[in-house]
Amino acid sequence: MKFQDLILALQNYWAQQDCVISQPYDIEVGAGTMNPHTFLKALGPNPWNVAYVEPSRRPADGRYGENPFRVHKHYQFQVILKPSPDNIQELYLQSLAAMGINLEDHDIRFEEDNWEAPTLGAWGVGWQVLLDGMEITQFTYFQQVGGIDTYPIPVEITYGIERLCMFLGGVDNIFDLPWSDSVTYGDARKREEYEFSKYCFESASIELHNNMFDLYEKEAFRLLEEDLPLVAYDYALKCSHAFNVLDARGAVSTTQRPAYIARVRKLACAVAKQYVAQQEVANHG
Amino acid sequence: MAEFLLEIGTEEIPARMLRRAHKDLRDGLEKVLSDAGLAFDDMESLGAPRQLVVTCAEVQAGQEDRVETVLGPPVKIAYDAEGNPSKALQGFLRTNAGLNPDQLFTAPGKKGDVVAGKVEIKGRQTSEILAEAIPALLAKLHFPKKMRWGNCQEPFVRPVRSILALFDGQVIPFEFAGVAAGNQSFGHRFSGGEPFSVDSIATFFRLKAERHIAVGHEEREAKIQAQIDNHLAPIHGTLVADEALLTEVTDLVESPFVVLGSFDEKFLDIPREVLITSMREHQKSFTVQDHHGKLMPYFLSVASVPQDRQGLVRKGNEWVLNARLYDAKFFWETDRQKNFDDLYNKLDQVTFISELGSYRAKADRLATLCAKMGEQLGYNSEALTQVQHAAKHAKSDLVSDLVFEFAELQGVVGGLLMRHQGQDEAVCQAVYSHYAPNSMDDDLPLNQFGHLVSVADKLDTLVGCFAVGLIPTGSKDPYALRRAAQGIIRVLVEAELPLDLDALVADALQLYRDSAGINPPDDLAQTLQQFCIDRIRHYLRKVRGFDYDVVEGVLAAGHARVDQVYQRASAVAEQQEKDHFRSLSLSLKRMKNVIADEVDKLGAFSEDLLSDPAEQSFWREFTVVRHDIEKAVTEARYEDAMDLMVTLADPAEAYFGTDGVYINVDEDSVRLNRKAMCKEIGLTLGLVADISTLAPK
Repeated sequence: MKFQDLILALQNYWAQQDCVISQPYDIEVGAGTMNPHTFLKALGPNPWNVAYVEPSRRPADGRYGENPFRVHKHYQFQVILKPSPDNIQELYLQSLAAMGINLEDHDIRFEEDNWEAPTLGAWGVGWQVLLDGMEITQFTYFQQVGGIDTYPIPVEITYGIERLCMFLGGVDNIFDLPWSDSVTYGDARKREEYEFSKYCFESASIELHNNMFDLYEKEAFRLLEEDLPLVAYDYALKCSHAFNVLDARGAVSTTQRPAYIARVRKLACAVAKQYVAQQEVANHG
Repeated sequence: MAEFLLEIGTEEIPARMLRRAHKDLRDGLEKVLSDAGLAFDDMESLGAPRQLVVTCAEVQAGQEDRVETVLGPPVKIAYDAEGNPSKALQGFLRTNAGLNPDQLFTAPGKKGDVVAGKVEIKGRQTSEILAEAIPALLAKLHFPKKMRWGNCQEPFVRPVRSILALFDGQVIPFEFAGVAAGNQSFGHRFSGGEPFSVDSIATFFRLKAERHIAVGHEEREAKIQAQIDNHLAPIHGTLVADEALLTEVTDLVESPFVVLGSFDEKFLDIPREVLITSMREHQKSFTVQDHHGKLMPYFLSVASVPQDRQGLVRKGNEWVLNARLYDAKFFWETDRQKNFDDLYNKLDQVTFISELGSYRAKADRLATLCAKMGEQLGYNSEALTQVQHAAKHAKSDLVSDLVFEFAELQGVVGGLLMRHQGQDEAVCQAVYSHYAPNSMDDDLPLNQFGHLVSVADKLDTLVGCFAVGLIPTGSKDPYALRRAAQGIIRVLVEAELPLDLDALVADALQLYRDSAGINPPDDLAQTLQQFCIDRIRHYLRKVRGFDYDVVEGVLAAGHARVDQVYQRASAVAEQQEKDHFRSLSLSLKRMKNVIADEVDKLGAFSEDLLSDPAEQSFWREFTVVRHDIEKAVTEARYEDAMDLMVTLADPAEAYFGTDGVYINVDEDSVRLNRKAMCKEIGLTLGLVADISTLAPK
């Protein structure tokens, strides 16, 4: 199975389920959840179905392109359905069938895993889905986002698509994955993994990132004062990424870490609160 | 009588919550039926990941009709002057429709006679009672964490997707979490076909089985065991037993199918502990060993499928495990190269508890505490160096990759890495096992260095937390300080370490004052002492099973040498049932009472002032054994000491008994001298325990 075929299969399948097929956000994020199409749209009463690929940067997971399983940037396929449909597990399982997995030939299990994103003030209840012992999906009913109780309840389905593709093709090294007929994952991305690993672990300017964190944070709060929560959220994301780079760079001690996380969370929660307030005005005039 | 069957169909309930939930549901239903006065047979509760099931073969179909007496208004105000019903009586008749005014009678009420009547109450149908009770019961069912979904406002452990509720073959009409009860059940998700109708318990179980769901955990566990045995025989392997894992996988599957897979032999280089943990934590797989206990390159995974037609389940699990083991091997090989001094220095960046500084500071304190203990145990300089080295590096593995990946292997990894680097074996074992004991059944650390590091580690956490006010209250004990204290006590007792707990606490406290600049309140040592005494009490009572009286008596004679507390308790318990001991304790109780009011003004005792033959005899007998008792106590031969003490039972009885010596005479010199003698004898006889508290009630 080619990497792009997997993406196409998932996009087609979820498009048929009346999802908006969206695109990645244009700011660095650590997970598809951080895309405003999830983080913000999960809030409030309006129904929302969306699916998209999200390139997700985890600087600390970088391995200079030398580890067959770990990369600083991987791709998530993200689905949000609000409210969660009654047959959501069935819909999900059919998406696996749409990728060519014969469900009767495999062991598919839902094992308890309660997802939490402290920087987003978000948590949910659900499972990790295992395919023959392989973790392929995080399946979560969001209970709170940005510190706000969700209602109706959205369900988030996040597929780790490289791993899924490696597993289905029996490929032992991520860089050997066929992306298209003629290009491998390694052709497209290996050098990038090296450079970003080198940058985040060795070269990134600590002073610059510390400054940027402070500036972005300040700008975000200023934008909230101007009642521009969508723009403020961009700066919250930039803060979060600056923190991740500092962390990978070894510039955040364990004692400082909770303080950074708390600062990003405070920002994310303030954005969520203002966004919800705006929605209420929009809905009720 | 009729059948009752309930199945709550849900999305996958976490394995750890399943058994408690189906038991609670059954208990709740039994209570509903009992409270309604309905007779029923044994109820059975079962469950698999997507269903909570309760069955009962025989339940009374409905309540009996019954006649009850209802009390109305007082006779005085029930009728007007003409003898017609008053407003009050009319109201009573209205609220109890069906009451015939001609059949009223007088009955005694709380404040005088009242008008009363008999009403017939129709018994309710069981189905109706259940329809009302089940939703309320489900709403109240306890789970560690509940959730909401969709548009549903009713929280439950996972979304409810179907309800099967039958009484006497008929649907019990109710709704819960937006789902109406019906007669439908379901089979295995992929090979169980469409939902199906059920009309009885027998069809329910038959159709579930045909559709590949084993509803009971006993059935699933038996299937798993049998399949494991089938796999192991041909490869001559045995299972590395893991009860907790077996329970977990039993409740993770609906249709257990055990897969035997293999992995590359090169991974057998990874230490056994790491291999087992990697398989268990990541893959929930069992490890296989040969008959000599050497690991084999096989694993056993429990899938939730009727069969593995294409072998894909096995292949998939093998692929995943090989990837995991590749990581584990990589971590092991990287960690092996690491220099322990570098690891130790890195601990500077790792917070122990934010108020208490870094793990490196902790490691330094542990080394100091271990040195102090070693000195008290008479260690030579080589042993002191060893134990300090173990303490200094006990926490170094916290910055290894393996412990980052497998937190539960802390300590173990440190020990393995040190051994690999050719460090002293005794030190490796100490580091390896110093987190033990983690529970009451857990073994102690592997050697005495390990015992000392373990005690120092727990003591340092306990004292440090208390010093900054992180003191457990009620059920809240986030730093597990009770368990830490319990661990200290177990090691001191069971490793027979002759160390003074109060002195250890004082040392640990002093270290915080000196090195971390923490200024605990003045009475902290006392607070800690009380906390430790409570844990000793708990240990002796709940773990060692000593009687309340024995424990209290022994603790009254001191607690700090915990090793001796236990030995003293054993010696006292040994004597407890013997007649002489009972008699002696009774005498000592009398003695204590009689001297209590003047005990503070008693001076030296003078043998010359003794006049009564009984007191002279008591004193004489006492002086015969006194030295031997005290010597036995000093040498920790508590049983000998107790044997000697009970030889005084008869002279004590003669002295304190009904025909004995009258102590409270008016003459001060005689009275005070007698009491002084009692006090002196009491001191010696109280060296093992306050025996007076052990007197028969």
